[in-house]
Amino acid sequence: MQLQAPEVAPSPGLLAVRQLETLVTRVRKSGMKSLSEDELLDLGRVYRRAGAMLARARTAGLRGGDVESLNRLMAAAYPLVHPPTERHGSVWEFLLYEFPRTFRREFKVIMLATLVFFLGALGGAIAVSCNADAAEIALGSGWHDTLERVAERHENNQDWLPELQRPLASAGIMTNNIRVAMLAFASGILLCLGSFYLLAYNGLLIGAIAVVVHQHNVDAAFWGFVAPHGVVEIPAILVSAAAGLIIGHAFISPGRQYRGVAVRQAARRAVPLLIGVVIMLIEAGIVEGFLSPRIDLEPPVKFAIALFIFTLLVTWLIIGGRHAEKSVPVD
Amino acid sequence: MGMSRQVILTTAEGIELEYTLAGVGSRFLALFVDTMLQGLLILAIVIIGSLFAKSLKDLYLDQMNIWLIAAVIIVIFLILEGYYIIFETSWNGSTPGKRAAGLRVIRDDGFPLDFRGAVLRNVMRVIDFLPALYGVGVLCIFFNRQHRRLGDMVAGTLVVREREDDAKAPVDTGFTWQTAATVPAVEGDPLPLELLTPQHIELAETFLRRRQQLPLDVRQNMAIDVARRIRAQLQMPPEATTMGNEQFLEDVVRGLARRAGL
Repeated sequence: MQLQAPEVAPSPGLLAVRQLETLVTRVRKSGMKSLSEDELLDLGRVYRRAGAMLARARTAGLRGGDVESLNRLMAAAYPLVHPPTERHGSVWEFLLYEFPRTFRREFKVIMLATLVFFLGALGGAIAVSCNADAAEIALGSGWHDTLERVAERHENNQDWLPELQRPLASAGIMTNNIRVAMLAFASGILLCLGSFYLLAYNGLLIGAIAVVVHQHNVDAAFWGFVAPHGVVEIPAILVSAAAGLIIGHAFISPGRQYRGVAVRQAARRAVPLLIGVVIMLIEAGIVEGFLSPRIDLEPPVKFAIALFIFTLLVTWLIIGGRHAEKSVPVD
Repeated sequence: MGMSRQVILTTAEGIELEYTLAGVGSRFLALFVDTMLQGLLILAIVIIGSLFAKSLKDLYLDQMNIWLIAAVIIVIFLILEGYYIIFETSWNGSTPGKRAAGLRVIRDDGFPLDFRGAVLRNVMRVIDFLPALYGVGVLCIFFNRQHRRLGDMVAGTLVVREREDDAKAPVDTGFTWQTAATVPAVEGDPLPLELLTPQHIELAETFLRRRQQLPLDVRQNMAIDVARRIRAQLQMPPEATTMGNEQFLEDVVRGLARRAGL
């Protein structure tokens, strides 16, 4: 006859672990609301108990499969017991409240980006009006001809982007702009240089094209084309570069924090700007593809449309989210 | 592949969560699979698109075709730029490639990866990729103790190994310290378990966990070997007990668990 060792009751710690397992599985399947009030209290209690078990097992030198599965259980339970401090609302709330608030909070950097862009434009305009080859030097080879072609498009009221091709142009422009915005954002980490370069380059481009257009005497047609989408697209690029500068600045001078921590916090502050910019660029891409190239609309009409869009933009950015704004910015 | 590093995240109450960091090799494997999948998706879209096209001759002359091409451009853009963001947000830090390589993205504060974190770590890819094939990324991983590329640094994430194999073997291990609590100690003098080093404990635990997968003769020989080492470390005479070797090892681990109050 074999003697069987009598079983004793499982230790309280072990019971806590099993209960935690049950609760976590239930929450994962049906959400936190499936727990009763008592169970919620239990969750906190068994979580702490299981945490103590894990610590003691490790101290004892045990590392086996049990410890690992307890580790995994704790890791799964942690976000349930401590919901993250950042609570983000719906897309709607983001657009109406969070993005405009973030824009206002980071206004200084955005103005800096605007300044760099404007200086670039000034430089580009001066360079090209003094010297016809300046475009080649400042922007790269082939640009002189490109600028000429862009100006020539608007001569003689020709239908340079016929209705047939507009969806294609819109898709291509939208995706290209979004890529540029992401690059402006990401390249900020390179000591802000990437974002500054992008701002200066695009500024130069605008300045140069303005002068070439003037030389061809098609100012009204050209700016009539640019205005409806430009009033959203240009601010979008400026904001995305500014977001990159926020990150770059944290990298260069993290203040009293560790560099990594500073960069991470700056990135979290800046990323809402990028998300909003993507949405702005979708709108700008649609306008640039379908509305801006229309030759059946006279420039004054396009300017009026541009003014209307710009007014909406500015109103949104100034007023959005103000009603609940706290005096301390919320990260 | 060399030593894999562990990282310990300490949560708010001082609970330590231990993970194994992914090495460059596994990350490239995941990258390879994900890139192949992106390529296949793009190919699929182009094929589906061309099936819908009214006629491939004079492609650019039909308005519906132009809309179709525009839609394809946008979908390809989403596949190229949105693939990682969409997967990492919906699959809790995983992508098909990462699943294949057994990896997962986690936030270093213990929370699940959120949309913004996924956006941040993937928008930085364009910089990580410089000058070619993730040069900057690899350098960062190499020089960073937590194997982070630039995107991970900016988003506060880590890429860790998922240990799927242990997750699937709860029942057949045969012995765990959790069952130890249900079986009382064997009579006799308490063993001086404090003499055991972590390596000894690991040896005993690993054997007990894996023993059922071993062929019988290998299992017996290993039991003898491991038990002999443990007895030596505990300064017991070599054939001190008549109890079986495996039983002895079980008692050792049970004893450790009991001493820890588990």
